[in-house]
Parts: sequence; C-alpha cells; structure tokens
Amino acid sequence: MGKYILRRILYGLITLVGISVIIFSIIHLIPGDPIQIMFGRNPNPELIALAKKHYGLDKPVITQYFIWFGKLLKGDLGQSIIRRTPVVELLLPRIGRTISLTLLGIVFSVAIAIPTGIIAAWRHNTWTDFGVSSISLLLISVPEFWIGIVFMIIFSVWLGIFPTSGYIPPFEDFVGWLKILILPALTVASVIAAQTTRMIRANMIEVMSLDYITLMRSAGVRQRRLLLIHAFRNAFIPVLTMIGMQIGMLMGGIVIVERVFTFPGLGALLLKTLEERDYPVLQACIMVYAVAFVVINIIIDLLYSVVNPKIRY
Amino acid sequence: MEDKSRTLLRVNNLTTKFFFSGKELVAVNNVDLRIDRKEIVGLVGESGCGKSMTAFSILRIVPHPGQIVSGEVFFENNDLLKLKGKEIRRVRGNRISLVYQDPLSSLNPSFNIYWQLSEVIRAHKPHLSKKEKYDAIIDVLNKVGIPDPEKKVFQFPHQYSGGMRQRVVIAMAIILGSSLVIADEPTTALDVTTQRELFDLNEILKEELGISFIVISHDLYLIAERCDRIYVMYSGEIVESGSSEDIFNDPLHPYTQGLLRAIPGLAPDIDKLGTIDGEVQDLMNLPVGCFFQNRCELADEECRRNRQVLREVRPNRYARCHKVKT
Amino acid sequence: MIKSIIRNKKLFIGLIMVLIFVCIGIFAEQIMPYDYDETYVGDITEKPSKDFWFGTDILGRDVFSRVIYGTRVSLIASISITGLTLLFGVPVGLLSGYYGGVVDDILQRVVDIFFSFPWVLMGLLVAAIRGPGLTSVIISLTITYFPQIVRITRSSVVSVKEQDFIKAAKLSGENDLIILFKYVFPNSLAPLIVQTTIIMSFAILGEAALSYLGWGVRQPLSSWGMMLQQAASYLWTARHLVYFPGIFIIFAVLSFNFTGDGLRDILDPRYKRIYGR
Repeated sequence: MGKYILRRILYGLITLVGISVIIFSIIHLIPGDPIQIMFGRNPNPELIALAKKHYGLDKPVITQYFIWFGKLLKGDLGQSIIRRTPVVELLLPRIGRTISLTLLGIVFSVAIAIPTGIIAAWRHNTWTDFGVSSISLLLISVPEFWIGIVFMIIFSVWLGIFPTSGYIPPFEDFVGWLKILILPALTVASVIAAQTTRMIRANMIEVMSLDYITLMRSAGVRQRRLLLIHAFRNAFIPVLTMIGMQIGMLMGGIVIVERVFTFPGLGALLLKTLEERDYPVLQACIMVYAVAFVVINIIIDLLYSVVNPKIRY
Repeated sequence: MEDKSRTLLRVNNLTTKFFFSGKELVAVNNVDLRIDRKEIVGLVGESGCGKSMTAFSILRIVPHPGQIVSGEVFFENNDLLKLKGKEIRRVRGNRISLVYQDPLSSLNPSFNIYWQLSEVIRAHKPHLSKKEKYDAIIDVLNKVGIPDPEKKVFQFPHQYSGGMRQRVVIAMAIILGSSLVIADEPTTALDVTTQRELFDLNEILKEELGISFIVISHDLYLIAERCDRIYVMYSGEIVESGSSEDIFNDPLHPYTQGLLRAIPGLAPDIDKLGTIDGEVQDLMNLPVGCFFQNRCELADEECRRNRQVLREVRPNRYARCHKVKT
Repeated sequence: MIKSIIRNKKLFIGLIMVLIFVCIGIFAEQIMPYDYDETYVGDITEKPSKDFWFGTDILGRDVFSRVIYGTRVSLIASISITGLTLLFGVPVGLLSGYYGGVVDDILQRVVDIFFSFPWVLMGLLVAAIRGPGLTSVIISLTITYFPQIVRITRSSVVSVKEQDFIKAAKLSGENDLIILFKYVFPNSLAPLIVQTTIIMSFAILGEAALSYLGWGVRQPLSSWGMMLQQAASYLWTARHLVYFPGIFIIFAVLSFNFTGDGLRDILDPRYKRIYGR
C-alpha cells in the first residue's frame, strides 16, 4: 500500500513538471506584450528595452523557462508586470478564498447528492423518484452561470438575504463571510450534485437487482441495511471515478462562478490577468490550478484504492 | 401414506402471478411439493418453467410485479404465507436458506468473507459476542471444506476460486442451522469436477447435519445422479414426480420422456437421440387444455380440450397426463 | 424501430425538441421580426411589449430577434464541434485500439492528460492565443471533447478485437482497414450515438459559458451567452434580459439530454427478463 502511494506521488510530480513546460510555452504563445500594454501611449523604445531587460523578457524563451522554474522551486513566483508587486502577495489571499469556496461547494454537493440518490433509488418508480430524476435532468441542462444569476435574482434582489458581491474575511465577520459564500457555493454545487445524484441513483438501482443483494435478503438482512451498507459501497465506486473526471469541470465552474458573483478569488484573477497579459501572474495562477488538479487526482486515486479492494490485493 | 413427522416442508396449491399492464403471467400454477427431512429433492425443467419462482415464493422474495396469489406453505408448524414481515424474516437465512447459481455474483465484491458471514449472523443473532461469531464462522467454513479458514476468512471474493466461493455461499446458508437449503442452479457456472465436489458436500451435509436440499436445475444429468426424489415442471406446473430411480427407469409424462431422450445414454432402453419439438410455451398465452400439447407427439382432442390433472398413477408417482395408465 | 421510438416517451419528446431547435436555427432569418443588431428604441431597455415580444436590451435591440439569432449560432457551434470531434476522434480511437502497442500506450497517456483538463481553461487559452471568436470556441471545445470520443471508440474496439469472427476475417486475408470498418466500427455505434447527444448539449453550454466570460463569440455575432453577459448588470431593472436567453439554452440542452437518455434506455440491455434466467 505504501509503495502504491509513493509511486502515485512520483507520477504526480513528473506530471507537474511536464505541465509546467506546457503552460510556459502556451502562455508565451499568447500574442500581446505586457510591456506594450504598460507603456501604452508612450512607446519610448529605450524605456521599453530597459523594462524588457528588467523583467528578463529579452532572453530566449527556453532560458526564461529555466529561470522561472528555478525560482519556482525556491518559492519565488516573480513579480507582476502590471502591478509591480510580488506575485505571491497577489495569489496567497485568493488561494484561501477559492479553496474555501470550492470546499463548501463540494460539501454541499455531496451532502445533497448522496441522500437524494439513495432515496430516489429506494423509492424507484414512485413520484419521488420521478421528481428527483426530473430535477436533476433539468439542472444539468442549465448553464452554471445562469443558475448563479437566477440565485442572485431570487435571494439578493427579491429576498434581499444575501449580498451580490464584495468580500469579508471570516475573521472579521463570520456570518457575513458565510452569507457571501453560500450562493456561489450552492451554484457550484448544483450542477455537480445533479450529475452525482443521477449516477448514484442509477447505480443503486442496478446494484439492488444484483444476485448478492437477493442472496443477503434471502438470508434475512433488512432492506435498509441492504441499501445503505451492502449496496452503497458498490454503487459508489464508479461515482468516485466520475468525480475524479469532474475535477476539471469543477475548476472551470469556479472560474465562472467567481465572475458571476464577483468573488475575489483565483478564478477572477485568472480572467483579469489573461486580459492584461501579465505573464508571471498568469503562469503562477495556472500552476496553482495544475498543482491542485494533480493533488486532487492523487487523493481520489488513493480513496479509490481504499474503497475498491480489488485494487489493493 | 405420508409420514407426517418426517415431512419438513409442504407446499399446497401455490400460485404466483406476474401482473403487467392489463396482462397476467402465471409463473407458478397450483404447485404441490413435499420435502422430507434428510432428503435431496430435485426440481427440474427448462428455463422459464417456474422452478426459481417457486423457490422465491416459498421464501416470499418474489420480485415486483409478481405476487403470490394463493396456496399454503407449511414449514415447522407455520404457514409461511401467513406470517408477518418480522416473522418471515426470522425464517429466511435462519431456517430456510437460498444458494444461488453463479458463485461469482453471489458474493458482494466489496466486503471480505468474514464480514459477509457475520452479516448473516447479525441478521438473526445480533447478541452473539465477537468471539462467538468468529468461532461460528470458522466452524462453518471447516464444515464446508475451506482449507485454512483462519487466514482465508479475511480475504475477498475475488481471491477465491469458483468452487470455494460456492462453498462459502453454502456456508452462509447453513451457518445458523437451517434445516432446508434451496439451491438454485448451483452448478451452472462451474466445471464438472467442482460440481461433483459440491454435490458430495451436499450429501455430507445431508447425512451429518440432517439438512434437506431442494436442487433446482435444468440439468437432468445432475439431478439424476444426486437427488432422492424429483419433481418435473413445465409451464409453471408439476407434470411428473417420483423417486429419481423411478423417473429415469420409467418416465411417464411425454415431456419427461422427451427430456431423457435428449440426453445420450441416460435412459436405459432408448438409444436414439431425440429432441423436443417447438419452443418453450409462452406463459402469457397459455392454451386451453394441456400446456404441453403443442410439442407433444401424442396430443389428441382430449389433450386440447381439457386441462390435465396431476394423478397418483403409481404409489408415490404422479403424472399430469391422461395417457398414463395406472 | 419507429414503433420503439414512439413508445419511449423521453426519446420522442427529445427528438421533437431537437427538431424544433434545428428548425429555428435554420430558418432564423424568416422568423426574426427585426434585425438582431439594429437599434430600435435608442439606448433604453424596455420590458416585453406588443411590438417587442421579449423586450429590448440595453442598446435598444429586439431581444426576441437576438434570441432567435442566437439559436443559429448555437446550432453552428454545436454541430461543428460534434462533427469535428467525431471526425478526428473515431479514426484515432479505432486505430489506436486495433493496433495497440506502444503508440496506443502513449496515445492513451496523452488522452488521459487532456481528458480531465478544465475546459474553461482550454477555452480561455485558445481564445487568448488566437483571439476570441466562434472559431476559437469551436477549436477549444473540440479539443476538450476529443479524448472522450477516442476513449469510447477505443474501448469498444478492444472489447471486440479478440473475438473469433475478427480472427476469422484476418485469416481469410481481409484488409485491415476493411475489417475495421465493416466489423469493428459498428460495435461502437451505440455508445457513440449516445455520446453525440452529450457532446451537443455540452457544446451549447460551453459556448454559452465562454461567451459569458467574454472570450467566446464576438461582435457582430450574438449568442445567448453573450446576451447574458450583458444582462448581468441589470438584475434590478431588466430581468427579462436574463430569463429569455436562459430559457432557450435550457430548451436546446434539454432536447439533447432527453434524446440521449431515451436512446440509452433503448440501447441498454436492461431488458432483463424478470422471469427466468
């Protein structure tokens, strides 16, 4: 088991290095020059050349990559070209915010999806089941940002419960912070919850018709225990795989949701720096995403091996 | 004459129907069965003839949209069909157990063997201590012939061979001391050697622990070798019954005769290999008269007009065909 | 065949909805009462009225016409994306699965990396490199969904590869390509058809999201996503700008989801006999 973990982490690190190369090259393919943008209306060639030298942009791309990677390993993410502040300062607070949003979103979706899926399977072919299936089908047919906008309309405009934008750190005002997070988190959760519910429901229905469940039933095990313990673990395994594949979608969704609610997180930063062509920040942003991506995948793989004994032995 | 004290299970007029939008399908049609103590009884017929549904009806686990419509199932002084939910659950797995055909799919792949056996115990005797449970499990694994049970008990189904898995399923069936085990096509997915081993096991369990078996199968060869008595089913009805010796030496109902003709070398004086014409009877469109008429060479007006009745044509031999002379 | 389609309600409704969607897209010009880009009421947004059924947007343009026109944009986007993914994905999947070997292994690793890559990121990057626009959207979303098609095709190839009738065909000297096409490919048809509906719905949603973020379709084209981006700041005053494009998106996506679900119901061997084994 330990060997498996090590192998997985090693593989993850190699992937990260590979991704860093890809990211670096892609970003430098983006046309547009931050220096030009910075100087805008006063293109003084000497100043421009000086600025380029200062930021190391005059060196060949490959060299730039190694310099950047070297600094990365030391923890120095460079300086924002547009804002002249260290990239780390820009990123750090936002990472925490985006992570809390993501976590809350995941918690919401799991908390909604698992019970709903199980109940729908239990009450298969009844109105409850039909209702659940219809609502989840509807939710996966709606764009996330639209759900977010509609939530805003309902809760902020009509009911006035939640604010539409702004941000308060949790230490200052915990309730206020929560209020700001809830709508975006629910938005993120809604699509993922719908998909997960559908899958859990379908899997549970299928597993409950399998031989080993009938056998246990004939041995006297009660229906509820059959559902929640005997069947669920088997039904859940493919769901875990699906969640792993959804990480990408989740991350994309975060970017969108942050824009809808003007939530000052990593996603919002990403969009802004993309417009500005602020290379260092952009690279760092995407690297953070990549690291998160790889780490989450590793965690899911490990979880998977715990739940599915066939992998372990 | 029946010796009432030896009778373990008695099924009278059991009828189970499936209800689809507007239509009815009679899966089990007025079936009578008797199982004595220390007996291995075979229930034989083609796929879809109602044998599995009979077993499910006895245990009352008929799947939706099926329903037991009438009949009585006497077991240990109770009519199982009249028991309440809690009471019938006390019977299932505890007094009457089910063993399935495909050992691969009979065990939950995500849990180890120990856990699965302890679930059976937990369903009926939750008060047992951990040690008592462990002892009971190891003991039953020994009884079914699993080598080195202390180590193997914590492994997972995919680490067991097919034959061993079936032994585990049998262990699940007898761990609480069931007196009746219903084995539904227990050897279909296994090779011949393993099949023999498992049937030897059944014999041992019958003799040493006094357990009776109902073996459901379409494989007449197997049933011939291993059962004391046989019921032959067709289209939801019993068409013939008797001791296995009698049935194989002297099959009375045309269907039984057809089944035997199709197996080379089985019946003593038939040396032609024959087949039964036609397809399995469609249970949604049962004919008036004998159900077997469309495939029977001997079918006549009487067969086509009147439903055939199960008659005792010899002592302890029943057949559902008016052509059989007493 | 037709009978089983009608019997399955989901599939039937889904197909009708798809038909409506396609028709609106094709005949958009005939349906639109006004020009989608023309200002009619000055710089004011008006609520729905007799003249302007869905109201007007902040630049005074008729929302109804814009929504209808958006249907065509979505149609173009989704068909292109689906077509391209199939065009490139199916052959790659077939070849990779059939010939196996090192190439297959490497290809699978590459596919794996792309598989869960956040599509939003992909969309943004492609748009940043090439500049935003419908073409960039099509390219990035095609890249995003390409791995899924490769996977599905490949797995159905692998499941059939070892079967006897393939070996027989090889032995009798049939050309590999013909074997692929005649025998192997039909096996993947069922899952591919279902997957096509999924891609179509994803393409519509993806294009909408990218346009909403501002990196999708560009002026003078207008898509539903773009309309929603403009609507986002007017939640207090002009909510009709939010509802109508949204409803159309939902309708279009639902049509494909219904169809896909219905197809899956038919094609899945879940019609186990309850009775008998």
